[in-house]
Amino acid sequence: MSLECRGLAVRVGERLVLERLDLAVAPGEMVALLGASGAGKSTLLNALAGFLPVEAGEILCDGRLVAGDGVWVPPERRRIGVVFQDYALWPHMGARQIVAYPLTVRGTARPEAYSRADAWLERVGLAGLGDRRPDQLSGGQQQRVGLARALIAEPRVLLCDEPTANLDAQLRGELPGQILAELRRSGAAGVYVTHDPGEAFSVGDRVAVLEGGHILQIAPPAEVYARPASHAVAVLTCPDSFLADGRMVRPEWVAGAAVDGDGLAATVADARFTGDGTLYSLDTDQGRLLAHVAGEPRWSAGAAVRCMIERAWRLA
Amino acid sequence: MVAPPPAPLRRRVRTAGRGWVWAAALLPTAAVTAVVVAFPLARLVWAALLAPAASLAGIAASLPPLLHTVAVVAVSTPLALALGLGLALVCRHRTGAAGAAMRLGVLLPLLVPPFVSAFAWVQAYGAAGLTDHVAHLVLPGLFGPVGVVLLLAVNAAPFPFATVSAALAAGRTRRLEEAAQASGATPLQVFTTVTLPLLRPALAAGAVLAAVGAASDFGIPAVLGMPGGFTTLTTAIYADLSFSATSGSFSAAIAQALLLCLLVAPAVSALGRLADAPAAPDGGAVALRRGRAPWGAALVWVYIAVASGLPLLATLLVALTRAYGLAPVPANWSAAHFQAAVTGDNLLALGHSVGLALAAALACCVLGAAVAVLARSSRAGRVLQAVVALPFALPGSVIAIAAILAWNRPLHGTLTLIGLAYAARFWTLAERPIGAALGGLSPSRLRAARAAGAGPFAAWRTAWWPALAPAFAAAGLLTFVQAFHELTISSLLYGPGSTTIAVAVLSAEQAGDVGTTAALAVLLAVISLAAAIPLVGGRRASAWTGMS
Repeated sequence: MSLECRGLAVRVGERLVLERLDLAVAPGEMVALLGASGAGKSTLLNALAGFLPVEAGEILCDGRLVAGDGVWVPPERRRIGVVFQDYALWPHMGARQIVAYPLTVRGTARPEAYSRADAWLERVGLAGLGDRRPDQLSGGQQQRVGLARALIAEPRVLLCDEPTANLDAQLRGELPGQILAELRRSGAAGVYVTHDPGEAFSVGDRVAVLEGGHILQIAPPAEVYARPASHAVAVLTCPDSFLADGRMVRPEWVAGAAVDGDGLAATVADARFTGDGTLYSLDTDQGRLLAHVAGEPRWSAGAAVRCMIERAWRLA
Repeated sequence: MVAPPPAPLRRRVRTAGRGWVWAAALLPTAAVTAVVVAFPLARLVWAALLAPAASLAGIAASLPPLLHTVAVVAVSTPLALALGLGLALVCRHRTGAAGAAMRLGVLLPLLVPPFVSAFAWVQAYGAAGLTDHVAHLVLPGLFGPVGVVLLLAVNAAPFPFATVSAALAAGRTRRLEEAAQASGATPLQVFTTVTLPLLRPALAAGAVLAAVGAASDFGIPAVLGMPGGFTTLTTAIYADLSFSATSGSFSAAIAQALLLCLLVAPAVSALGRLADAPAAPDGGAVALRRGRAPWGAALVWVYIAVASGLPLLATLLVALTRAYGLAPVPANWSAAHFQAAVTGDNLLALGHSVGLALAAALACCVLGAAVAVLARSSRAGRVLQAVVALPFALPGSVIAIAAILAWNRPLHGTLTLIGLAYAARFWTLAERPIGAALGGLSPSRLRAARAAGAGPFAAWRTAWWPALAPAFAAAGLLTFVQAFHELTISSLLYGPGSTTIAVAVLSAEQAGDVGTTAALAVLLAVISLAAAIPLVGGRRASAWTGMS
């Protein structure tokens, strides 16, 4: 169960949003698509799902051509599951009916479809809520109904379109883990669209950074973070700072500042407590530097300090 | 992160500053409502209660027209619903100029007055009409129930078309269909399990509007029904008041008006409930998708041609052709009918209609704005809002009878009487767009302007007026168009010196003066269309719920 696209080009209206895009996702793997709004993330997802026609190139599921080269398999025959940003739950159905839908439209008898739907509702933590309509469920519950619906028919590809964008902070932390766990169990190829770098790093086996319809870099999260392929990638996976000689420094790469001793002389421009430490903005003769240091703020704006740059990445 | 409740200080300042403005607006608005709407309707009910024997006799006499109206509504409503739904589904994904032209074409019957449409159909599909000339094709039963039902359905189809189109255009509908598609549903399954259930409220609203429109319409049964002796309630009222002037015929008209009220009342109250139902929240923008049937557009264009195009063309040809019965070729063309249409009494009638429509538009904008503001700030205002909505929901014949009962003594047959009835009828039509625009304005807009240093008037002018101006323009245009070609009320209220253009057309038609009728109909259609196109071109097509 793999997903692959080669030389993909997609047009939305008059605009060519994607151009010659290559991407391969292995079975059970989750690729996070990271990019600012307008980068083409949702367009790529819609093309993979079959909601948008392909201008050029091809999409293969399990090695089978589903789009391109004169072939176009409609969404309902691609064996996909989609988790939508706005949940997209049908307001006139109950949760059980919604989750069972992919089975009933494929001809499974209603009693069996409903009992499997109940099992899925229990699995995503919604046992007993099968009769509730979407407007009687919280945002997090709605999205878990959406997840169960996406997975019940054992899709080969799971597409997630910013599933946490409408959820509050706590659920935003829980849901991606739940999605990832289910993806591993199902063995489907997963694509997860997000504009939040933290979420992309935590959920993706690999992170694909998208800008202007091109993949700037695709690599494991740690690599994208530590060795961004370009200035644009570094900026999209912020926070970061750049030295005068063009090297990039992540905030954790700056070691505890001290008043005396060796290191770079700096003036504290700003100190903000983040809970797990303090984020300093430091003015040095190399330029503005961000430093994340454990503990409460020890210096306030205007203080003269010294800091050590333990690591830096020279951008190509 | 709950914001602290607004400081009590601000509330105090607001009400203190508003108290007198409030009373100053509420009292005159309430007084006008009483004179124009409440008193006439109360008189109508009172008259029916006062003379129970006479109204019973009237009800017995109006049984055949009542049954006709019920039958006509029962058949034309499902037809209109099917037409509107089908047209909306085909037009759905068509964007750009072609799509806009298609939508305008489908909405045409709403913009052309119904009696003009009926006359135009006769010129196109009747004996000696255009299709008879060209291909010896005549629509059987055009003068009678078949013609009335068909044309009422065509005429009412824009209502379900508009409600369904609006529901389909909500970005969320597309999303929910995509979710079904991704779940493995075939296009047919998507339609039956997701699209249709989502459209149910829109279809219900469209059906109610279509049914009320069909029950209330006068122009179509007047042109297609009366000549063949097929009487509906609205034409029965007209016959009672126009062809005999006994007290018995007047009480029959009152009874028929009440029957008509009873007939549309359940529908109107259902509409009120539907309007309260929460609308599905809007999703994002809709991208262009696959799945447009190429033959769909062709079907829509054929429909537009048959329903509106050919009839209007036939009318234009009749108006241009020297004498009725001659072949409509350029050799036989002349401007004589148009000259007859804009001279003497006809010119006077045109002047009356333009004047009435301008006065109604101006009055309804002012009155509508007053009620819109009051309804947003007080319970009394909301009561006024409900009261002024009544005359538009009720059939025009009923409003005319009520106006006669209330104000006939001093104002018999005057333009003022017609104007009063128009103000009552179209008040809510102006109130709705203005109220909607007001509802969309957040007070923070005004506060931001004040905080930025603008005085109260400057803040209002710069921060609110630009958003309100289009609503006022829409309200004015809507009222103007409706009042300009209004027939039902003016045909019952006009006197020797207060003929409206619509009445002039009907008289010419009934006198058999086909050429002049056609020329007048063309003028009427052109002016109505010219005034209405900015409305449809804008995004206010869904606000178009006009009934004649």
